[in-house]
Amino acid sequence: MIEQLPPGLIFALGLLPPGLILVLGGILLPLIPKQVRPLWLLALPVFGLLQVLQLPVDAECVVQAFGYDLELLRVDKLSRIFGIIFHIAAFLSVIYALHVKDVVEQGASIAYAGCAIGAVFAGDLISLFLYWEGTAITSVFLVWARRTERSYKAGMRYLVIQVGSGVLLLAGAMLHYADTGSLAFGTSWASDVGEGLRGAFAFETLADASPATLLILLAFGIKAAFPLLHNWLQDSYPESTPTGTVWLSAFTTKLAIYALARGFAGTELLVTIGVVMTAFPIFYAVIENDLRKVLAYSLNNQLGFMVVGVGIGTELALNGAAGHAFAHILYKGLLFMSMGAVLHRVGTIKGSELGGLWRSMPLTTIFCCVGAASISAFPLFSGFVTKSMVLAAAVEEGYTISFLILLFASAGVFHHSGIKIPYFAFFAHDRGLRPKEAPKNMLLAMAVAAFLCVAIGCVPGPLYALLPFEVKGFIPYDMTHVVTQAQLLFYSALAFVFLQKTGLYPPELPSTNIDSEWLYRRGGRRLTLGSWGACARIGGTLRRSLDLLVDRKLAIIKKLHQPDHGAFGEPWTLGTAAIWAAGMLAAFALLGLL
Amino acid sequence: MSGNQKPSVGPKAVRQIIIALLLVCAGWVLIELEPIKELLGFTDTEHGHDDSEVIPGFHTPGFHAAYGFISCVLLVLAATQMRRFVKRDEDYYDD
Repeated sequence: MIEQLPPGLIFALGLLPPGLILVLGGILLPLIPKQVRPLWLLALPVFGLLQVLQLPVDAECVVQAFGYDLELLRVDKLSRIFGIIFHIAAFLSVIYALHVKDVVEQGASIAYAGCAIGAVFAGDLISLFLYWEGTAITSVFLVWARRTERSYKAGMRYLVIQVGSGVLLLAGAMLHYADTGSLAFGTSWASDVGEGLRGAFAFETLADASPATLLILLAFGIKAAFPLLHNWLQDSYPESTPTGTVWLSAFTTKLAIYALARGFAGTELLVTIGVVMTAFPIFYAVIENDLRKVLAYSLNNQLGFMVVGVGIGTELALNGAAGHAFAHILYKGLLFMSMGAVLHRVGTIKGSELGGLWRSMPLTTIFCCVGAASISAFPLFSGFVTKSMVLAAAVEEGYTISFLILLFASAGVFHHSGIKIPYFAFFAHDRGLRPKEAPKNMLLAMAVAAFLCVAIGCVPGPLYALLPFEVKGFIPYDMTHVVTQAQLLFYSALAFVFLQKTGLYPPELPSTNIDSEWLYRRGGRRLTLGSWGACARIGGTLRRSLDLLVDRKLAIIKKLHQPDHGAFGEPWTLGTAAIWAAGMLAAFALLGLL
Repeated sequence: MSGNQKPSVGPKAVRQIIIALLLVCAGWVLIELEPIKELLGFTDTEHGHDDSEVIPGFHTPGFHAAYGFISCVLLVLAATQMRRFVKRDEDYYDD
């Protein structure tokens, strides 16, 4: 049953499309008195969440604009779960950033959350594009908020890539409209429940995919940090402020996961892409020194699990993808909060310069460990009850090799996010650092996020109720799941101890590890500079050759016209001139006869 | 950033943590052995999907333990070797 809400009614009731409350709130922020701004910022996600909760599932609002049907609002269980977690993430991030006085960062961050929320409730490709670009433009201010030259340059690279993703999306939308005459971004999942549900643009093989489909997949793939398209994430997130990275970690990539689920659920290619995403970033995470960059790599790894879930495309797998996105936003936010607190207090986040902070930052240490346990999918923590759905779906559908790689990646993520992050920041060598505990607002945000991580892990029922499909026959806490996961994790911990004790574990070294960004930061530059140099050399040679040619011709002309000596320079006698004139006349006469 | 470089946790505590970890690790494998299962009254419960057919040896006691340990050792050794190819100076991109 689709309930059509007339747009006039929506605006009359003051119900802006979801997300716009936050976008407008962010834009109006500079006009709000400074003392009221924290309250204003806290109120926006609360009002936004209330609005989403009261919207009926299956609500739609279609308006006509420029002859196109724009579906400004579409509520189904998929958009709803993303809408809810985005509001919760915005609220926690506001608390975490309450001490921030930079109005640009504050306004941009809440508007950024609003754009992401708007995007998940947009039912057509044009609205999606507008919000898609909105997230790019608002979020770049969070990278720039650090106000360093590095962050400025990283922000520029981030902006080019993010806006580029939007341009690809628009091009895909236009081609799709030319092919089908429709701008709709899929259909409401609530009306499609049943077997064989696939994304709006899902395809069997690459050969079946239209150019429109491929452009849209590429646009989503950039934001979802597909392999080789991923490096904007590790490049930009660690350059932001301690608070900015917390905001950034929640929205852009999970919006892409939502878009992939809506657009490409059941596309088998995504299983392969997702598996690669889970596996390759963990190698970088092991040797990376910047602990927020380690988290960026593990973010990439976690996105891989969601992409696999989308690719498998069964109800269990899609529930796993959506549920894991929900849990992930909380625990990844918590981990970035704890590292942000360290950066805020110590002034560095390099593993080679940290250690022993548990003595003076005990609460931050505990919260970080909760985040680490959650991302590692320890039983009783949030990651366990969501990631196991994706793994179970992979086994059920016969993706054996993919499953084994996912298992490897699960062990690996515990290794670098579960152990490395807390170990090198809070334990390891005591470097004599005794900073103050994190500010109270940061601690509060971390405490709430940690509570939610444990609550979801211990009582998954309420989260399962929010999932796109009814959870049937899946029991996270059975003997086999718990024992096998516990073995995997505890023996990973044992491996860490073994490698540390034997000196095989690589030390944290101040370094830059080149990744695919090298292609455009060094390779592209070399190519451009090299091409420029080659063009300049060819141009110079051509110019010199031309100059030489002209000089020679001029010399001949000059010689011929030299007074007294040149053929044309010396004065002609009357007889010579008469002979030339007669010759010319004869030539003309001959030409006339021909 | 300089200061003393002592371990932040004393050697005695580290030893206790390692012993506890070894005991826990042993416990999680022992719990999979049939006699122990029977002793404790644990049974394999229905968890909505059958994975024993798909992956050979999947339910052999200690499969996940070995998989986790070997995975992590190989991961770290491979990543260490990867440094040879990808490691550059900290200010590599800054010039």
